[in-house]
Amino acid sequence: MKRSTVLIEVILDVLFLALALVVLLRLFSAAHLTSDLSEKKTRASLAMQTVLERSLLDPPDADETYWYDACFQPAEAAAENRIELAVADEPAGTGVVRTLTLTAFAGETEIAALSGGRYLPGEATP
Amino acid sequence: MKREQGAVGVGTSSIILIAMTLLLTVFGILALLSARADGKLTDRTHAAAEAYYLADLQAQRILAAVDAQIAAGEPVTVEGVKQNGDTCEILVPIDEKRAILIMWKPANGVDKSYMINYNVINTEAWDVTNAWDLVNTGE
Repeated sequence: MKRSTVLIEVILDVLFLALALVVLLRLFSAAHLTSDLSEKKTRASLAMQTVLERSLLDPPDADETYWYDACFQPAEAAAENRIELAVADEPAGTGVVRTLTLTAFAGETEIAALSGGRYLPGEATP
Repeated sequence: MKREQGAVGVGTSSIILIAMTLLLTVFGILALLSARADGKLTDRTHAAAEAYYLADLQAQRILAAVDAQIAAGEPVTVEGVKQNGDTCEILVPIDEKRAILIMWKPANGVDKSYMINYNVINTEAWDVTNAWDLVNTGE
């Protein structure tokens, strides 16, 4: 009698454990994905600020693509992540305001964007 | 002859299992809350950088408008420009606490116009009542 009671308890425990593990795995998986995404966003944001600061000092004339590895460290050739720089000019003052729009991609997913710009005078100001 | 009773009674395994599950649930929730807090901090940090560069872009557009008027020999009438002694200044807000302060000296017949300041300043009012008492003066 007691042996069958213990057996039933163990079966119920296994079922409960299976259910609990499904929920817990989803919980830990969600935490891992959220953490992973915020890490990528932080690294992408820092990389974008570096590119933007450099580009504001010497604004490029055409769109560019910068490649990065999985940790958003600069890569030589096409790699896992990238930052796309789009250049747009609008006439302003005596020259143009060059707007630089940066978009960071982790794989093919857009994760962050940043915009800045510089006024490029056309002629010397009196 | 009496059978020897097992060391583990009925219900012990269930109690251990429930305790373990509760513990794992608590750890899981803590991990998720921590990850979400990290995510929010990342978003706030990026939003602050975004706000700065947008304000900087706005400041560059204002500079362009000012430059156009100076180049045309007209008085600077760009909205927000204030005359402060022999310098002109304009404040471009970044957020509730920061702004970009641009100052320049207009042409005066001898010297050309030139910029004397372009930096981020704190616009938040200093609240003395919330100041920390770092040095105990005995008062």
